[in-house]
Amino acid sequence: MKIQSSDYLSRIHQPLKDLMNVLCSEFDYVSLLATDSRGKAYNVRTRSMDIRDFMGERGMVFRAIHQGRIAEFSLNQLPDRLDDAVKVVSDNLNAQFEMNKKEGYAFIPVEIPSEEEWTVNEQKSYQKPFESYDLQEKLDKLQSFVKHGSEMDPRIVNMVAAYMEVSVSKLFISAKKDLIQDYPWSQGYIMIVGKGDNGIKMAFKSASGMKGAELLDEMAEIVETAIQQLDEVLGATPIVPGEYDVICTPEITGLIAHEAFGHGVEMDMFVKNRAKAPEYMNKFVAAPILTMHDGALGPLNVSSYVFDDEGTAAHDTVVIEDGILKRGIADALSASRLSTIPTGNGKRESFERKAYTRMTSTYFSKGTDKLDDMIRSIKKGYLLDGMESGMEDPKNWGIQCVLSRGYEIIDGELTGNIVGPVILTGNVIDLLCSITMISDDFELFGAGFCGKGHKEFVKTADGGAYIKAKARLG
Amino acid sequence: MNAKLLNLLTDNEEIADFSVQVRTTVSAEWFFIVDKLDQSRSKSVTYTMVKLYVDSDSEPFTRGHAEITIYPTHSDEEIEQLIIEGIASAKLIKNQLYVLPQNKPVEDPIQVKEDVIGLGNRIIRFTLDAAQKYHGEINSFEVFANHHDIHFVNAKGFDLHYSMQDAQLEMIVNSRDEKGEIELYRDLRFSELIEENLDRQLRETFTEAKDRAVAHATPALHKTNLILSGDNVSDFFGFYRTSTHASTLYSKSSNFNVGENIQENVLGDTVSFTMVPTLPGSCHNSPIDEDGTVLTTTSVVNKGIFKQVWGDARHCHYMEVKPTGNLRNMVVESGSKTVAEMETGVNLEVLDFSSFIVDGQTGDFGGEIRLGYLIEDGKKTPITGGSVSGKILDLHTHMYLSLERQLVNRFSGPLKVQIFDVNVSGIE
Repeated sequence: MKIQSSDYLSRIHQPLKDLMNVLCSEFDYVSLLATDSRGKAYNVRTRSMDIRDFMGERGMVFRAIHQGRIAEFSLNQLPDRLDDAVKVVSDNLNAQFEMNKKEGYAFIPVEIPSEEEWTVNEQKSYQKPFESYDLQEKLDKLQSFVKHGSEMDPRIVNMVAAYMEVSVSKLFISAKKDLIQDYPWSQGYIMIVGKGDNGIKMAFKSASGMKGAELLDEMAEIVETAIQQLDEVLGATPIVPGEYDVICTPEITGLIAHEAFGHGVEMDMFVKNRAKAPEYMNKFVAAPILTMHDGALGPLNVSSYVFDDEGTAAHDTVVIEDGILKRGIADALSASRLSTIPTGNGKRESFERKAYTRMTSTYFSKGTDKLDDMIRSIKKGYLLDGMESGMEDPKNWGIQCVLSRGYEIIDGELTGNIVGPVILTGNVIDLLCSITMISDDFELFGAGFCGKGHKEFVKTADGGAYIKAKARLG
Repeated sequence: MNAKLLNLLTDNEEIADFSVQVRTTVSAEWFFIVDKLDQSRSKSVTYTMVKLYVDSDSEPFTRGHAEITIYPTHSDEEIEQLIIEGIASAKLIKNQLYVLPQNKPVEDPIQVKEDVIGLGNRIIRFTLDAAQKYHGEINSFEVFANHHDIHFVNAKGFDLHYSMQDAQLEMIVNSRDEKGEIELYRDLRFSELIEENLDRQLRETFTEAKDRAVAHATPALHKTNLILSGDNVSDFFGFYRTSTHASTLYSKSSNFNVGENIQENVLGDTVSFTMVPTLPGSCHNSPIDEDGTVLTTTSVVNKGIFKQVWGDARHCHYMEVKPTGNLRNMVVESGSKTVAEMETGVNLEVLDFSSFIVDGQTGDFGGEIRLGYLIEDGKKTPITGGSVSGKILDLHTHMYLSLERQLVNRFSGPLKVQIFDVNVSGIE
């Protein structure tokens, strides 16, 4: 079933087009992104619960280019009268241009985007609309997860079952574009806190996708997994730091794809000379069995849209092909500065924030190996699982991934010994070139948020297959 | 304040309590590549946040709440519908009953005149000048200056109007040697431009970038003494902040219990810290928290003894302690060693991690080293790569805090922390 479009955006569509007609005559280029996203988060804990607004936004951002300079104005209220609205937006943008001139700031000239005529109005689908279950039913399902989990292990001191649903609605207008899209996404997670002999430990398992309320049904499966994980982390011992043969689960593979090459090929980093990737274009950066994609046109997940926040159509970009770095991903402004094409990766945290080059669905393509064979191939190493966090360093191609667990492998068999937490670090190219096996599995994970530095959090998804590599663990 | 909204909330008999916060933010933003402007931005937004509470009318007595965000473009009819939906939602939430405190009026609440353009331009000038002064190489930087006007009212007649300003300077600094170019990332946040502080932070950043450019690979130390400095010290003490919060204790997710010694058989310095409503230059200064509880300075841990639970009104009520409010600023007392004393023997000092992760509940910490110093009897060799990891609970019984202090945004405390036998994954 298709998601409903936003009444609010429908209501303001024509008045905004009228406004943009006037603004287009005043500036060399002007565009508008208006948003109306509605979301709820349902949280049930062992001893409390709540329902909150989640990821909602309603507002607009105007971008103007004039005499080579660029300025933006974000706001969530405009006067009703056209003349008054024009004055509010125009005065603000002109004041920015004037102030920056007055301050004497040198600027990097930007070219006028060459746009083609494009009109679209698309609503994505989900199996079960968010309204399929009422509030009580949603809470009841989450409560049943918590009740079941809490009965399973007396060491559990707190359990959280959380479900979030978001309807995203966006309208983009420029001289040649008139674009509307509506799409849903939902995510859920089970987090369990347990107390063992070594103090408090935590387990976490999530589910997500371009899905509706059907995600609540799917969440039952992850409860058992999270309970099992808590048992494992409570018994985990510290790892002996060193370099090991490792197998990464699809979740960790996704984290590596995201941190290792995703951030490294964001082309706003190229503009700032903050990435090593341009030096490696058309060279081997990974084992020849590895291919990596990014794109909102890829497998459906939480960041699968028709157009990005700058009105560029979604792409499916092959970043690494058979181990060779082929191209990066770009927002419109960075693409213009680099004289290349934008790839539909211009995303904003909300209408209140700047657009940067951001990832969408980032993944390594699946291979042909079997997980059992991969485990059998390891003399001493670890099967790594449980993503906690990651951090990129595109300039120096360092990588940091914090993981909750490593399952010991000795002589081709899992021993049952578990270490954790584990920090995987190293050089990205060394890590990717060390990949010798890729399984025929494939899974995407979209329950997290991705930041740019320590801010600008947006939804992204990442994943892939099991990979076998060599990594430094600590 | 929307009178119709207040009437809707006041006149509805199902609503046991409510608060309304109207927050208007005006921002100016600049994005520079080296010393050239890439683009500028401006923002003007208003949000009305309503929190309403509904109590059950039969045993077991419970309280539910709903949080509603109202946009300026919502019509009166839409607002009424949002309130109806909020009440329906709050009725389903069956939390243990609690009450919100009756506040006394706040005398002389913070009032800051809006000058986001002036503040932002001063930061830009100061940053560009500092790069020249210290021969630093800026790759790019972003400046955000925000002014917030906040009007808070609740059902009990508490009415407070205050305003705040804050700023963020995100900066990338480069340096190079014959091996290539490196970068350091800094995210500096403050409520006022204290030139002395910003000058020190920028000078240190440029110096550290030059050191990283000539850094050696971290040796395979396996276990060593670790000295943390800068923001990492604040992150380290975040574990104590989280573990003593009423919500963590209520959810039984803390390793600590009030009244107990959290550092039994300590060999080094004990932890003492206080949560406070304001600190000079902090972005988190406020007279009240999000529930409207007037913030009260609270001594939480004294000489290793967990003295006082702190937190929001609801969880303090559950823990049967007087609500302190959700304080955001932390003051940690100094320890017994000077930095020079810490640096005797062999130590690994980490100034900059890719991302320093400290789990607020478990106390597990770790991160990849972007810049550190291997200190051997005072001689410092810059190192990079590899990682450190450990668990605060296992290490804080032998820990030293420096006599020298730092004041960074919401943290005032020791400049450095020294812990022992920390795992190091080196690369040489």
